[in-house]
Amino acid sequence: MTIQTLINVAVILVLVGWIGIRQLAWRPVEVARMWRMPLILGVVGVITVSSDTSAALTTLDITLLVIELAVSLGIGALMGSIARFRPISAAAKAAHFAKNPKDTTDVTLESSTGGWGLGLWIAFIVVRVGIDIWAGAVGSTIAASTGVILIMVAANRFSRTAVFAARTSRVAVIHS
Amino acid sequence: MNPSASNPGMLSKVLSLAGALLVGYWLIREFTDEPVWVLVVSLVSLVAWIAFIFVSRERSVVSALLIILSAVTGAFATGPTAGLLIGPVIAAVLTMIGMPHRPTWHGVVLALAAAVVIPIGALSVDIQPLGLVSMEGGLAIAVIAGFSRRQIRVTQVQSLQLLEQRIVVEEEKARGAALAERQTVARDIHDVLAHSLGGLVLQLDAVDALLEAGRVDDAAVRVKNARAMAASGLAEARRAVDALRDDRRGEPVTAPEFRRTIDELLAAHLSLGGSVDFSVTGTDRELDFDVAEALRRTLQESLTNARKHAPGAPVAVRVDWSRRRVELEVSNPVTAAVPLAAPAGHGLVGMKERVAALDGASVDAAFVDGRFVVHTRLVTS
Repeated sequence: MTIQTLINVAVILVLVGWIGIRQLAWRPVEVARMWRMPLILGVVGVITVSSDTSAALTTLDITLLVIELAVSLGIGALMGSIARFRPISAAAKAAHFAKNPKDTTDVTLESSTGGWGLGLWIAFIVVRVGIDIWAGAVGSTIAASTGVILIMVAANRFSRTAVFAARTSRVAVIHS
Repeated sequence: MNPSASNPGMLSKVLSLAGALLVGYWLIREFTDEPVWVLVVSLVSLVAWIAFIFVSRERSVVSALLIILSAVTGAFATGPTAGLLIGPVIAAVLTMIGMPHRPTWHGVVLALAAAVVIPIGALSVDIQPLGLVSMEGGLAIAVIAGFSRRQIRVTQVQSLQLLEQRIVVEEEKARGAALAERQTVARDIHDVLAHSLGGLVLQLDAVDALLEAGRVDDAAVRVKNARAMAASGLAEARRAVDALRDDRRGEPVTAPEFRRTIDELLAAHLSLGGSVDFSVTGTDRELDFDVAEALRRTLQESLTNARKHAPGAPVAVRVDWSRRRVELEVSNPVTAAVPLAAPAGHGLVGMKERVAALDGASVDAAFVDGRFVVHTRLVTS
């Protein structure tokens, strides 16, 4: 087992656990904050990939990357569209502002993607691992690199947030 | 509205068709040596695209299926044709995203599918990584252009809706104006007819009473008066209809003209057995048509009311000209037989409406010290 593999395993486990727990819990919806995670992950991912000069990008690499990207975006959008919204309770709101004292924007909704969300998240991981194995078999190294994993997670979160933003803005129009 | 705005699709359809034919020409010229499937898939894409151009109904399922077919087959053939078939793919994605009636995700899913199919189709041929990147880049530009087109079309739809709303508002306004005009006509008819017919009824009542008493000579005088009254009422009605027919509003009324109309009204009142205490202060002068008309009608209405509610009692009419105003006060004693509530007829309402339509004007009708007083103030220019 190489260091690279170990790092991959660690990154995947941490992200799977963290995001998995978040799928099940009801969390305050704050679209502005939700953009932050895909942005950070994406930037870190792109820096990691571009600093990895060990191999030049081949046509096969690009093919796999495009497929992975489409799958990530698709699953993210699906997660966003199955999410349920409800008005936030006073207690949850107080807890949110106690945790983020600097926050000034009002929070009116909370959301959860529930069991299906967790299922989609696991499906996302399985597809990713599958593509990694397939990529290794056909000789592409880049698809399985840490940077690419981060970019794909970022893409997943990005499309989920985009769908969230569209849905909550529609809810806001109805409520106003 | 110019023809291109009423049919915005025509130019883009012609351009689109030209593009499809150009791609077809190059395909047959350059890629006949390729495997047959490349040619077949490419032609399917192009035929689907041309078919879409000729399907007139953009919202139909058939047109959506043609776009999808053209995009997917085109994407598959993009790599083997060295990027030539990216043309229909770009057109399809741009069109799909640019349709305002479709949800955004239809177009986005189509673009993602095409993005995946392009490299898969390219696996069969030896293609440079940079070539593949540029094909995907072309697709990305199509997505952006599609959103821009969508935005433009949404704006067009919105501005059309805005135009419709404005027309509705203008129709409402026109209806309101017509209604106001009808009220004016109703007011004029009331003023003329109530005045002369009311007078006639009084005269004829008197004739009736005189004949019963055998006073035929007196009755004959009354009948003559009644005839004069009817004739002046008819003339008045004609004048009102004329005024409605050719709009005299705007032409000023000279001081002698105005004085004559006042005198006519007072004379009519006298002939109906009323008595008038008339006084003028200040210098009379030319009046706007609307102001003169308001004064005349107010006096007429007040005299009619006085005859109705205080028959035989002297009516005090005072016209007061000051520097910028003219005031008319008509008052009559209230007899015991009359209820103390204000006489709420159409006449008083019409009088108030007429005066309210003028700038800086006011009319008050009230019981003051046992008299019913109608006080009108109007601004003269």
